[in-house]
Amino acid sequence: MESKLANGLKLLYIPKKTKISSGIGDRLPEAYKKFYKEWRHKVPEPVYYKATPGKWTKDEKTGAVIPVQNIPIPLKYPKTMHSGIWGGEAIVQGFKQSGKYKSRVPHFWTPMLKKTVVYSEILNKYMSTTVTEKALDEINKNYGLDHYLLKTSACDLRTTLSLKIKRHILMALRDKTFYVDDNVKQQEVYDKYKHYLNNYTHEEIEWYGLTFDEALLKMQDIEELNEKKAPLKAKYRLELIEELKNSNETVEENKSWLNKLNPFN
Amino acid sequence: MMDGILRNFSKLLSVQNPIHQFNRTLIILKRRHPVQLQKKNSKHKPILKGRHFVYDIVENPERMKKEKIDVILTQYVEGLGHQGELVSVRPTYAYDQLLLPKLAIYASPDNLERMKNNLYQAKDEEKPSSIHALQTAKYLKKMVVSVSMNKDEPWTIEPWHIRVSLRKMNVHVLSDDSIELPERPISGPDFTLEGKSFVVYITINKKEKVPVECNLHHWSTKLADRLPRTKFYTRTPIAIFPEQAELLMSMRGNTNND
Repeated sequence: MESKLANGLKLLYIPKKTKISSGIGDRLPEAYKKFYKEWRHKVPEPVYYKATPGKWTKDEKTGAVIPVQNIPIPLKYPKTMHSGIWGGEAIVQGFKQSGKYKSRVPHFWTPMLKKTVVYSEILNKYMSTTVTEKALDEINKNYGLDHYLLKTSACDLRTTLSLKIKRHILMALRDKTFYVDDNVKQQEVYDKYKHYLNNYTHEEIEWYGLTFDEALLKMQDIEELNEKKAPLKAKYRLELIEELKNSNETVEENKSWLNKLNPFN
Repeated sequence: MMDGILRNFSKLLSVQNPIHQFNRTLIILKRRHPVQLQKKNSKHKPILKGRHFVYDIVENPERMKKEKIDVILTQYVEGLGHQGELVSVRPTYAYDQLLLPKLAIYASPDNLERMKNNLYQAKDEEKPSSIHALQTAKYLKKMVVSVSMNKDEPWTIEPWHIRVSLRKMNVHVLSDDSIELPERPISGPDFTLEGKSFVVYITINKKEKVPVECNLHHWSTKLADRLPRTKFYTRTPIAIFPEQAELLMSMRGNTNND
């Protein structure tokens, strides 16, 4: 009975509509959909709060056993964050309350932004960016920007800029387009980072780090290339030549209708 | 009671420093009013009321001093260390001053392994004598030392005169052997030399040789006989020995640029 009920419930289940499962987004390739899920659907690591480990805890006062449910603090993602490396940080909107009977005061907890330079070993480039303290700390912890970006999943990087840099790094690693002049150095760097390539296929890297709109444009370009629309001019020209050829086979004297008319008859 | 302390002593030793917890740079918040328990495996978002957005600050690491990180120097850094040395510095200094200009690399396991194989080590002859040697040399080079000599009694300048004059400026030269005077002796009292400069060489740790500018001044024990005070350290130097004139000017030029 129960199993039948469960089956019935399965029939009732309709997957939630998302950007990549409905409309034009459904036509995007699987490689992009994988990235999009990693970026937007995956649950990021806890920031701004400490997740309680384990399944059960004891109430401090009563000692009653209660299940652990880590409900994340809602974050706001401003547009400007996409021009920097924020390392998973965002803005928290909430209240401060100094006492039980005091009124609560709205407050925004924002990350400390810092204008600085980041260096990528693979791209061999210094980039002037806006970063947060957490991002710098993560870079130091992972021994460099390249390791940090390649290790961290897209949902924790979050910002478009960091994903773009990651995309460039991955593409450079895949195609070996770094340190072209120095083969020894190139091999050394490649050996250092090549194990990160195991997580991606060739096509996945092609579609990695694109925003939804960019992916759509890319798909459109590819489709247009495949269709290869020839101009109508060429088509009509061919038709005309064909027609002329056919007409040559059956040669007929084209007599003008004027000849038929003889006004002096 | 002692038993209990002894039993738990190892635990006390292994207790972690609170700074070691994750996300050191992030502010940690906590809801003042906890959210009510949700249904098991519920697909709905938890219902959050206004009271669930009242947060308390658990810890604010922005105000704490940041923990030091380890880096390996790839080059001699003044006042910090020699090439191939493992130093621990504050992260901001390490990132801005050492890692970005490639004066140092991260002390990752790979790099530490390489460091053990002495890949980054410099030879002893190439090294400066100590980590502060070049800093000291720079400091001495910028100096203008006033050498006060007697106005009435006859004298010839000897190394100890320079040593005493440097001591007045808080530079303690331990041995007179490390002070090298000009080849020709300077003797007086001679008022044609008043306010003129000459160069002595000081050797740091028997390795780095630094030229130091000295300014001659005549001084009397009687208050009435003393010469007026002058700003000899800002004037363009006039050399006692013409062969030192160029060197003196170049030293002053360096200081002006700084």
